[in-house]
Amino acid sequence: MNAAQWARAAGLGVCVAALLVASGALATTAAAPANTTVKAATAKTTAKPAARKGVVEPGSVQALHAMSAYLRTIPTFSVKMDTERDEVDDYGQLLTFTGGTTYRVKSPDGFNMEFAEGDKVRSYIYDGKSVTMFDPATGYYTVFKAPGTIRQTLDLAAEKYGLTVPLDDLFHWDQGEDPAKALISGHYVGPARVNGQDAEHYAFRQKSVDWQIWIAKGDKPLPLRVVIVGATDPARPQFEANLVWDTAPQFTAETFVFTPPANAKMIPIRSEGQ
Amino acid sequence: MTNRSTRPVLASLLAGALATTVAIVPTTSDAARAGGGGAAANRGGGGGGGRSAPTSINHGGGSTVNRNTNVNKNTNVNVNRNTNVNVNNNYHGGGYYGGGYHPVATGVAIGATAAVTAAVIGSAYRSLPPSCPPYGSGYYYCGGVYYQPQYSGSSVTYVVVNNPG
Repeated sequence: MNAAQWARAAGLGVCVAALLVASGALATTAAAPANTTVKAATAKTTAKPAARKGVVEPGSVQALHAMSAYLRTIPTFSVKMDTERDEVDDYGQLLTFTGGTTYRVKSPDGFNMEFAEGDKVRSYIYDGKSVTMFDPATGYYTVFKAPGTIRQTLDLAAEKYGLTVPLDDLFHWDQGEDPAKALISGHYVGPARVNGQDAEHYAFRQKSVDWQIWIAKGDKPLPLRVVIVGATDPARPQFEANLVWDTAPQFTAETFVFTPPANAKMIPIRSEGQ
Repeated sequence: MTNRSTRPVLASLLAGALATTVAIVPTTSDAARAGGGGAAANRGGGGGGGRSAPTSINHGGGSTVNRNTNVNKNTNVNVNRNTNVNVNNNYHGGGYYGGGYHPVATGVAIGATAAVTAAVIGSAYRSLPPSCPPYGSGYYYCGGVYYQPQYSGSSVTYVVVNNPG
């Protein structure tokens, strides 16, 4: 047998094995969803922890819904986030970058965002018609036309210009998008304190991310802390953000207008496919 | 093969590739510093390399959106021994961060510091060659090469352009 024949034979073997496994699984579980299969198979040998896999506790979903319902009631807000973001280097080592982000938001058509991480600073300002991105270090700024709402604008920025913002979920939740739509599992972890505030801690799993959220107790159920883990990456890089909210900020007309400093220079921005 | 005779051919070859991906041409020293892969453990490294944690749950997560994993096409460009051309890992997450670590998200791979001899129209670099003065309105010119600053995602890059006239 030469190498090519070996390879074909081995490939066939794998296929046959896979078919056997697949047909076996089908025979025993019929049309049950995959998650239920896991639960049923592990429930016999292990007790509660494994059984929780694949279970989305109604209470955890209610907490998310209460949070997004509250977010919808605050059309203007300011939130400061301290962030830690992991990157995986070429050798599989996690490197953590610390940053700070401030969002000043006026729904549906204004934001002023500032990002700082390491020695990089950027601001994005949206006035309902266009977005300006500015780098104070170089004085370079760019402007692109934007649609009429924050959410559409963030979608465009990501799709066309590759610009994403951390926790842009905030801008979907406050528009009524269901935060629980993609959950594989969800449960209440317990009470906690974040920045001196009482909070409830929840843990969720989705297809590609594990995430946790700490939601303020009381009549303002705001997200105070969010941790997201890239679950499909073997290094499991993590992003975490602690949020400090101002739900009654004082904005002026200038908040959402970019006024170029004297040394500022406008440059183009590449768009997707360019 | 000489650079001069091949450059027009390369330019036309690359023109096709540029429709989706811009070639990057790190200098040998940049590539070495960056561990040969482009970015690696060096802040000034080229594009690609780092895989970011997802920074959102349902949108634009770093591990979930990966638009462009193709290796750029010009590994045979024999200018400046640039066989260490980056693989373009364009993770989408963290697109606002910019900088050496941040993988650029618009399907563009980026070299570290421009090397004059490797100037192919459309190549993008994170920094200009040393002593490269401004030229005209918004350009830079040195070593017979014109550069235009452009944002690529949130990163400021210097793109080799034709004589702006």
